[in-house]
Amino acid sequence: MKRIVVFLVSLFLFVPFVNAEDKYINVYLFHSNTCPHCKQELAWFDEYLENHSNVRLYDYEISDSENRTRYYEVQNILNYDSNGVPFLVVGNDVVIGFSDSLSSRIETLINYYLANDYEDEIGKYLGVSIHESNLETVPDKNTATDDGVLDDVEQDVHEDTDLDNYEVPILGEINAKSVSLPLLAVVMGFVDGFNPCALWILIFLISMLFGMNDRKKMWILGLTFLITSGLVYLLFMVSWLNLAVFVSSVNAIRIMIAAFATIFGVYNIYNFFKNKNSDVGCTVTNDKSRKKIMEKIKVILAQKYFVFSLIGIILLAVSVNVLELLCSLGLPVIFTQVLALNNLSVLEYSIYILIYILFFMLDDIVIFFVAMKTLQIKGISNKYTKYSHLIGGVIMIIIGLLMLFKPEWLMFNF
Amino acid sequence: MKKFVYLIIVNEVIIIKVIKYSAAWCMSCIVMDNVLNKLQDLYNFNYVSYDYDNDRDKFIGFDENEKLPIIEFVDDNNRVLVKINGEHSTKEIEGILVDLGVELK
Repeated sequence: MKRIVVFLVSLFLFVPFVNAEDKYINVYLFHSNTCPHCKQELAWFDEYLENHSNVRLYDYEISDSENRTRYYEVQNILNYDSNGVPFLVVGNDVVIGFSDSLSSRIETLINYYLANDYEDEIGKYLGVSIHESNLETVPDKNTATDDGVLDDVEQDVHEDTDLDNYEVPILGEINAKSVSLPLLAVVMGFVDGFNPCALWILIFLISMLFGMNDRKKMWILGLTFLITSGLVYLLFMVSWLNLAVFVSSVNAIRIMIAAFATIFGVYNIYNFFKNKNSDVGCTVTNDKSRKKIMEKIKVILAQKYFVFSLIGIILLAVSVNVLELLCSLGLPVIFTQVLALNNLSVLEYSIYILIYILFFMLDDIVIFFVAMKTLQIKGISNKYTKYSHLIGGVIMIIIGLLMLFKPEWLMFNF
Repeated sequence: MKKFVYLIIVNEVIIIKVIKYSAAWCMSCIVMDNVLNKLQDLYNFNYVSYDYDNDRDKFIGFDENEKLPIIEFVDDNNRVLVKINGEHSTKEIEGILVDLGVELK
């Protein structure tokens, strides 16, 4: 019995090392020029490959359209659905992202696949499948059969490092990565909230609600309008985010959005200085469409049955917010583009978008709640709208330029 | 009755009418409405407000690009003494009223 145990332990310890010495392995890395983790991983491989002549790295930069097609096809083969890079294939396993802990994971995977037979499906697809006895590429000739049996890979694109921690007076140590995106969501959402296009409708609606003389109905209709408006904005931002994530690896699109942000930012600042000394007030524009919306509100509130008023308010909120989206297209588009650059999880995306929308709607919420409590509309000066153009313009220019020249900084890797 | 008394000059007290041309959808108009309501409690002047969508005929003669609200300070002969556009602070409006000789209540 003792002999059998010793034999099995020896076999277990010995076999992998023997095989690791004799066999060769291909690994496939999909990366992007704009991704700092990709650069780190490539640098790590440079060093690693010097001491591991039996490992061959094939790298594919995904801003190239052919490589991008390969990237998605490889994910199809492996049954993956990710937009993250670096995307490394070792055997039948995948490692997304890069960090110190993931580098040892990569080494473990490489050793595992060196020691165990497997079918190099990705190599076959890419036409670089390796012959087991030498390094020559022999397409469709890998005869290994075993599947990878390791656990699901760890997705760790944004592992924090000590370098990201800053000592802030009073608040103590703060992690730049974990603070930057929420802070950006708060600032951009708040600035975007001073968009006057949608605010006038709320103001008019509140003034009409005052005529209802039923506090409960006023609250319900007003809140329904606010919540529906928020949901429309949420839907818009999620749709744009999906598009942004889908095209985030296409350099041309990133450059286009960066150029748009910069130009729009310059235009906003130009407008601020052009109107700096002019009166702060309202200009009569879109007279016809405004009158139409005002008539609609009156009709909705005059409905005999409350449920019709409620449905009417929902439809009104949807229609006016869709129409007014163009008015504030700049900041949410740019914010979702920054999110897309960060390769976050669905939960993280959702949290940041919700923070943005909460602060976007903060002025509406304050105006509504104060009006309902005091039965008086307290205006928020249009001078804040004027300054929001200046702040928004500066943010757009900064993000636009970073997107063009230092996209990794927008991933908050300083 | 009280308002009627203010419309005439009594003991050299100048009675000014403040006319605000505004709109229900205009945030600056609401801001100015609050300012004028506050000052009306302190000073002797009449306050009239016209709405862009309901009293369009009152807006005839104004440039369509003029910023709202338009505020006119008018004497009892309907002569416009001062005209301002847009938002102004309580202090600024109070200054105009004092300059025009409007007295405290």
